[in-house]
Amino acid sequence: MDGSVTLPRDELLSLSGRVPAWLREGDLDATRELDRFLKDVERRAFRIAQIALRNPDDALDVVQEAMIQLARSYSTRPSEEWKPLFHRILQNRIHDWQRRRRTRSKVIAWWTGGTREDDDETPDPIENAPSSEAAPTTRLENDEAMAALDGALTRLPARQQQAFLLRNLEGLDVAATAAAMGCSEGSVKTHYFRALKSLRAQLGEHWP
Amino acid sequence: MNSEETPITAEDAAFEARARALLGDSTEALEGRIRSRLTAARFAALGELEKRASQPRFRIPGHWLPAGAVAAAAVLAVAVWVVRPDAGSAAGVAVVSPVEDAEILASNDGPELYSDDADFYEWAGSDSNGGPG
Repeated sequence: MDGSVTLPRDELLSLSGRVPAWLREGDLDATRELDRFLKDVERRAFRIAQIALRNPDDALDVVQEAMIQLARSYSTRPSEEWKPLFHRILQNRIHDWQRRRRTRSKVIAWWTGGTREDDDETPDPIENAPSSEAAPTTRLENDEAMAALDGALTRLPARQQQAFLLRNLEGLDVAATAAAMGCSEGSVKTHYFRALKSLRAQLGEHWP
Repeated sequence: MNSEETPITAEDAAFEARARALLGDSTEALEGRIRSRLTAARFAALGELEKRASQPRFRIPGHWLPAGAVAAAAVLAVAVWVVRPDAGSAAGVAVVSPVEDAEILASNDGPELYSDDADFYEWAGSDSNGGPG
């Protein structure tokens, strides 16, 4: 049991319960298909947003906004287009969130007359590490490695981080990554390569 | 230098594989609160489909509304103009019927008839437009 919930048939029926009968069959199929897609990507999308934003609640908000935007605007598009579209929306939302946060921190710094850096800018690999309720000893090494990787990822430039996570975590190919990032395939390869070298240099031999 | 010029080494590939495995594990180890919020987010997104399905299938796209309003106003203005050609006279503007023009042009009176008494016609015109009664 992985803990996630697939929308049960009753829920699906209740969602379309007020739909005219002649629409119901097709809409139910569309709802099921979108449910499957979102269930497949939601956790990885959360991790991508969490690493980028360094705050789980902000990451959840961004993922929800991206899901709703996909359903609202692109659910009628062929399902094979959903993944790059969803990640394009997600990256845009992350970018907007980061921009708002920078603006807010500047205003706060100006208002308080100080020059303190936004606390959010300081990555905390331990806080960002995935939880491990009653982590067994055998998982300790992996948890430490993940915490180190999280910290290194948060220190990457945004485009390198996007390229690495979309390719390595989400498993998008170069073309789909380029579509999600809104850049050329050559740029994706360059960002990815630099990310890889930077991560290896940061983690070095200390990475367990 | 880019990735196409510098191939990924065996060490790079091993690093990629380990990073991929760890990141994959981390998505499976999310705490229950996060998983619940993600499920709620998914339901909210699916609710958007319900909203869309309950709306009429035929709708005028939002970006066509201003153009449609302008077109409708233009059609209305033309219709008013055509249906009420004598609207100007109601506002006190002298309007000469095209039939009257034709009669004047078809008459045998030469142009000298009008030029001889130009002052009279000017006075008559100003009197009818601005005079009492």
